[in-house]
Amino acid sequence: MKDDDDMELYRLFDEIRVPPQDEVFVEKVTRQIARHRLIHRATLILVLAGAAVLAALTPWLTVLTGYVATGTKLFIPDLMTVILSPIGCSIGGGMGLFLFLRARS
Amino acid sequence: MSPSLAKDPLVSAAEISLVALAMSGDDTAFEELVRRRQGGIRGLMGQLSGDWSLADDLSQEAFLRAWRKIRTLRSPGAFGGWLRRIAVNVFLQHIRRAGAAIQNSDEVVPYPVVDDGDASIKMDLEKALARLKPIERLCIVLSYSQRMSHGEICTATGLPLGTVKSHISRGSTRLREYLKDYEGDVR
Repeated sequence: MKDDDDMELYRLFDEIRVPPQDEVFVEKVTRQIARHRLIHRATLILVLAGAAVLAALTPWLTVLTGYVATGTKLFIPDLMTVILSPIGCSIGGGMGLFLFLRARS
Repeated sequence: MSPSLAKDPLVSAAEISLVALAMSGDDTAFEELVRRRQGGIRGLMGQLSGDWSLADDLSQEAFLRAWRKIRTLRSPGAFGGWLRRIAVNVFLQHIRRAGAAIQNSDEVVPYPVVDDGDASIKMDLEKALARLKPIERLCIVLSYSQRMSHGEICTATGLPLGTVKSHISRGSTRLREYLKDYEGDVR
């Protein structure tokens, strides 16, 4: 009896509608694939170009990084001294108050 | 060679050859595979979701995923089953994204089924399917429509064998009851 019921269900599922051939669907999938392939290629080109630029600029960047590191080392202690001094606090507070009042008006 | 000249031999080519070509990066061969397999996958998604517009979106996602992963396919001869597994995974992910906890939920998620007044048995079956829980519907469709064995359903869905068997058993019983209701309504 159960087998008969199962056979009936199999038969019903065989009869259920299958969507007809749809060229629009195929075109949509093809377009999506083309877009993905384009994005993939563009990403690859950008990565390679980025790597090439980085490789070309490495010596210059090394020098620049050295300058920045040295400059920071020299500048930051002086800057902190100014910021933490009473005059620095007054100037900072004054500017802060000025900006606050200006923003409110 | 122009694309149109390259396309023609593909139309009559064996699927296994098309898969091998697609695996080597031939997009035209993959397009032909989409053309041949679209009916089956869209039909499966339609039965699973009960919404033919959503089914097309999910089918597109399945084919796109298949295109991305086709190089990982072990044997060109296994393409059909492999594609179906991808489609099932896309459906499962859609259900999870939609917030339906299909593993544990007892709640029936009613998918919209267009009622065009057709009292045919096909419409009855679609309506009855839409009343099943998504996970039951998935197991039922894979078993009765796709003719997959319980073991294959386990592999495709990642569900334990016992769970698959109970979903099929309970789902088919409910499906028959719903179908009887519709037959009663028609008469």
